[in-house]
Amino acid sequence: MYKLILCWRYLKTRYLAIVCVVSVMLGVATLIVVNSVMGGFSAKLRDRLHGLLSDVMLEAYDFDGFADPEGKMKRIKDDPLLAKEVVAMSPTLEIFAMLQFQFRDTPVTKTVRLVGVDPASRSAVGGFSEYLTDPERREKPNFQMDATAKERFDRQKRPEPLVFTPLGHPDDPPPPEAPKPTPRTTQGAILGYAIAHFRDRQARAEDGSTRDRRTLQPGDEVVLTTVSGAKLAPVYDRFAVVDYFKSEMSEYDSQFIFVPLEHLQKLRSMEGRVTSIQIRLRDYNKAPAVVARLKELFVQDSLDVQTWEEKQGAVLAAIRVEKGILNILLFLIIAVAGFGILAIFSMIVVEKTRDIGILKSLGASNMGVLQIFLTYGLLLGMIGAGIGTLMGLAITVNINEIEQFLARSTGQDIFPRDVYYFDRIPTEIQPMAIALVNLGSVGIAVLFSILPALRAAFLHPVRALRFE
Amino acid sequence: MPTTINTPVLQARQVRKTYMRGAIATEVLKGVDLTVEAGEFLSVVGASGSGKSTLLHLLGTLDQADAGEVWLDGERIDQAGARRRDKLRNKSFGFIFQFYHLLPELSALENVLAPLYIASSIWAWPFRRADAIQRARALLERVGLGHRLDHRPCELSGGEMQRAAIARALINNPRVLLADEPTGNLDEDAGADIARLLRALNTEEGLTIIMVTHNLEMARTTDRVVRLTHGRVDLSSPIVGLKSVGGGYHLPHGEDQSVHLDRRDALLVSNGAGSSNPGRPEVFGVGHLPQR
Repeated sequence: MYKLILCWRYLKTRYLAIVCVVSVMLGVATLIVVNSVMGGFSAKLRDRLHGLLSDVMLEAYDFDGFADPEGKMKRIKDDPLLAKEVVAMSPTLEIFAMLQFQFRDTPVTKTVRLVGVDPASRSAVGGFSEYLTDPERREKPNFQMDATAKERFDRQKRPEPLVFTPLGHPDDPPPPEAPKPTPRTTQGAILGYAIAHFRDRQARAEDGSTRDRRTLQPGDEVVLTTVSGAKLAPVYDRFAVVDYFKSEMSEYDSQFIFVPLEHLQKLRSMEGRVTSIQIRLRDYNKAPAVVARLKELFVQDSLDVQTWEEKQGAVLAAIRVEKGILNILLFLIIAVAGFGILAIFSMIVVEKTRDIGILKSLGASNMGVLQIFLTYGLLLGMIGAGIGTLMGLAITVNINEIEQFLARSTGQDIFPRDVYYFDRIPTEIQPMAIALVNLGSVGIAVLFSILPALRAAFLHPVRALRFE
Repeated sequence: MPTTINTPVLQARQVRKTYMRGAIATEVLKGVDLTVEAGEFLSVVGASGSGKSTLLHLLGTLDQADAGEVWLDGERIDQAGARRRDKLRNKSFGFIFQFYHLLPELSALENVLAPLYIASSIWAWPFRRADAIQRARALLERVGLGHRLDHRPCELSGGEMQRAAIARALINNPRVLLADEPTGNLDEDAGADIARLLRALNTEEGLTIIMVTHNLEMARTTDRVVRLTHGRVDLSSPIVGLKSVGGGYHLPHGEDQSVHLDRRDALLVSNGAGSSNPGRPEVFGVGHLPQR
């Protein structure tokens, strides 16, 4: 009984104890904020990594791909387990390529990844149409130029070659008719946003966000060079830019170019062949079972079956490791707070030596005195952790406002928006992490109060009473 | 084996205590025998360092003797386990100290309640609370502090603090009140008040009191005085400065108050190991005994 009363009184009268509370509080708040922001970044990153990738993909090992995707998709549809789990499928043909275009009369060349898709089925798999910049195309994905693009395309039409008719003798038979120029039937291409834009750090919009400069307008013509299927001979064709896609994952936005599947097949002379089948699942948690079944089903075909997480395994693992290390480092903050508690508690024990002697003379046991100081540590830890949690949550929720305020008042950009492709600092509050942080910090507070508490408990009552 | 005249409450038998200060051993008590009877008001006097406080601590189980025995109501308590000794300090002994030793964070009332807090678990407390507070109030009234229940120790005078300490010592109806220089830090008037209060508690309520003091004036008011010299009960200069008058003893100062004592009143004849001449009876305390 006296333990609680004394703990409470000590808490109210010892200002030093407030220091302990503050140090625990700051540690907990920092951990929560950093965890939430890290969580936000990694959730966003995961989202984007997933972005273009379908849940599960069936891939060929080489550029030549595999034949008969329809037959394979039919086999998947006929399998009872897969039929239940697979919602959509789309064959795609992916190959490296070189992009060339003119920008202000300068030839520009970029290496890209060229993907032949069937817009409708690829959209059903997800991670394609929702990233297109043209809202209409999002509804009905296709590779047709809209009116303005068409107009620009026609305006930029290369002049028809002049037909030179040599002056001949009037008796000569008329020269053969020059061949009529065939109308240009250029295929559309959807470019990654970052391929066709660059961020101008100097040019700032009025609201402070950076402005993107466009290098390729819809309707501009580009040349894509790649290799043919089996022979890997160079092939090229002209495409007209029809739209951009913006997944906000710079790796994708700066590399991918989508073109119609059939045209790419024809260009690479590999009709009827694709390099992968993208699959969307009803429930991603079932992915391992689906992957296992697919592997079983296509064991003869030497096809690779992967979930998107396996495909991005290295990056995801890196994020996990990063987060783990950061957490360990940050937990050291709480350990520092723990040493603060140790020091301050030792001081309080010295200060309270006489009181400990008094309590013992009144019949308090060693255990009882021990409990007073352990309870005290627990109380400090809990109050610190409680306030710290509230503070951490408040900061997390308002982190963008705080960032703006700090940026305004110090003139330093804390969150440079041109490094990332998003305008707000992403956060994700994870109740589990908060619970762990709280538990850990209260545990550390108690742990570090054990030593002073033991010292107090085993003080000799007479010596304690005589302590000046 | 000391013979006892009345029922002994507390007994020390050949108690020895050595303190180590670094490598130097100081033997503070060199075999002390003492028997305290129920309802007795005993004072222990002696020079600084004579071991009188140490004796009090050993009697009250605040410290443990190196050799010898301490008995309370027929129970040997010096060898008792820690739990038992905690309980004895809580229930059977009441301590008062020179520097009051109140808990500064608690009010006077809470200080008096402290032994009950300690004895009571958090679950039992709500059921005992009302009774406990009533008893604490009554005790504070008894020591004349009924008007300062909610004051912190720092808001009380020395005399008031000592009264609160006495009330605290009495809250569990102890068998023995152990007082270590209770007036040592008080001015004359306040000290006299405390002395009167202790005397009254002894005569009116039959409280057994052992008081360590170097104030002979105050010792004189007690039933019996024991002098410690160099860790032994001193018999050579017969009694605590009591003069021998015609075969009897009386207290040194204030002839009018002198109590004439007969040899028969000398308490406790011992030929324990502490005696320099075994076989020769030793007087180690003298006092006026109540009528039997």
